[in-house]
This record gives sequence, C-alpha cells and structure tokens, in this order.
Amino acid sequence: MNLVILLFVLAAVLVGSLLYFLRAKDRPAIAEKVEAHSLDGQAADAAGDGDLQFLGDAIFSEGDWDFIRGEDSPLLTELFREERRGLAARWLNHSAERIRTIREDHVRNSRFSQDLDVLAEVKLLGLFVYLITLCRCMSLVVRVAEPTAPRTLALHFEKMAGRLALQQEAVVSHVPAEELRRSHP
Amino acid sequence: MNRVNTRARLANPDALKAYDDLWQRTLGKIPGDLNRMIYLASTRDYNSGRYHHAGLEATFGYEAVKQALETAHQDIFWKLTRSSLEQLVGELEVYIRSSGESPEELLRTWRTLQPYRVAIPLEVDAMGAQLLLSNLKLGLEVLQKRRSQQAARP
Repeated sequence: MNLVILLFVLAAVLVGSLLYFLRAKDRPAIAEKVEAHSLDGQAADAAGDGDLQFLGDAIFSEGDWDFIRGEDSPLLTELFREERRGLAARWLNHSAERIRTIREDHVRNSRFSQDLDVLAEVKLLGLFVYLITLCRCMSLVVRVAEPTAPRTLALHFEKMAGRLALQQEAVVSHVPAEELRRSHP
Repeated sequence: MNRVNTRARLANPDALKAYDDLWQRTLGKIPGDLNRMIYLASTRDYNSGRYHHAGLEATFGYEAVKQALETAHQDIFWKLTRSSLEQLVGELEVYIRSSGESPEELLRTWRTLQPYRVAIPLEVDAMGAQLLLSNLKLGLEVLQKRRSQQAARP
C-alpha cells in the first residue's frame, strides 16, 4: 500500500513540476488576471460562506482521529472509520463533479474564442487530467487506508482545484461577453 | 461571528439592526452554539421553512427579521461545522446540561430519532451539512460510551 502511495506522490510531483515550468513562461499575463479574480473571490467570500476548502481538511482531520482513538473504544473507532469513509466518498464524488463541470464550461466557452492560447489550453488539460486522477487515487486510498491517510492529497487537491478555477476563468476572460452568453443557453 | 462578513450579507440596515438585537437580547444569553442553532431552528416553520419572531418583527418588520434569523442560523451552523469533534462533544455536553432533561433520556432520544437533523439551515452546502450531522452522531456515541463506562464503575 505504501508503495502505491509513494508512486502516486512521485507521479504527482512530476506532473506538478511540469505544470510549474510550463506556467513560468507566461506567468505575468496569467498572474495579473488571477490576482484580479482572487480579489473578486475575496469579495464573494465576504458576502457569504463561499469558502468550502476547509471541508477536505475537516473530513480527513488528524485531530478528530486522535480524539476518537483516545477514547479507546473499538466500536467508536469502527464507527468513525465508517462515517469518514462515507463522507470522503461523497466529498470525492462532489469534487470530481465540480472539476468535470469546470472542464465542460471551459470546452463550451473555448469554442467561441477567437485567439486560443494553445499552451494555456494544454496546461489546463493537464491540470484537469491530474485532478481527476488525484480524485480516483484518493478514492482508492480512502477504501483501504486509515481515515486520515489522504489528508495531504486532499489539501493539495483543494489548492490545485482552486487554481484550476482561476486559471480557467483567466483563459476564457478574453472570449467576448456576447459569445459567452450565447454559449450558455 | 465575523461581523464584516455579516455586514456584507445583510445589505438591509434594518436586518443588520435586527441581527444585533437578536444577539444582544437572545442568542448571547443562550449557552453554547449548538443550543443557539437549535433555538434558531425552532423559529423556523416546519412546513414553509420561513423564520418568525413576533417580538423582533414588531420592531424591525418581517423581511428584516427573516434575513437576520436566517443569517444567524447559517453563521452558527458554519461555526459548528468548522468545530473539531472534541469541541462538538463539548457543545453536546453544554446542551445536555442546559436542557434540564435526564442525560440518559436525552441521549437515547437523540441517538434514536436524530432530531438535530431538522436544525440544519435550508440554504447551506450539502457536504457541510453531512459533515456536521456525522460529527453530531459520533459525538453522541462518545458521550454514550463515557456514560456507560461511568455506570459500569463500582
């Protein structure tokens, strides 16, 4: 099991490094757009409870796991495992669905773009594939390992998913508004 | 509660005043966030999902009070959802102590009927709601196990 996790982490590091170097080339243009969107996001968060990133952290919480183990009850430990596996499975389905929706929106919007940035599109595609693969790997880890085992992956996933949404918005932001409206029936 | 966040969501000035009044006169005097969430859920009609508070409505009007109650309910829900399991067990203990009911009976009823399910606000993320419900279920089992251990001791 440890070997599978190790291999996965190595693959993740490789893909992460690749994406980092690809992104470094056109960082200024994307970074400006991403910053503008981040500020919009902060305003949205201030207006409501839009920040759900803590969910992954909470579901795979080591503190909760330690607390339950401290109670020294096999029944409680088993119930905790069962509950957290169920929650993790739902969270992963929900997250994968979120990624698919972003991808579908992006594909739909890209059809109307006049000047597609091929490099940015390839990077986004890489990120989509990476995140969906990450979801599948976490699903596997959730089934076979301790409830908190995918915690690091879950935190990394949330970070990357947040970046994906921002990058996707930045890439399609130059699509004329009229075309975007037309693409959403 | 995050006042800046609340101010941004409560655009209506009367709703903000009603929210402050609700905290000063009512919620601030209720011990524990779980208690507060149960209280706020009790101001909501089971069928329509609309919030009502006759006293506040007489001063601030129905719409402002509805917004204030809904916002307070969501604020407390998120605070509880972000709590650790240990903190939630503490909230359950406070709730049991302040209920005036026998802890054994309350635990039995809550574990069987799960009445806390109806205390969740309507417009919240489903995953957040599932996390809180799951943690409450675990918290009740922790308390039940502690009570059983206490009872077994000579």
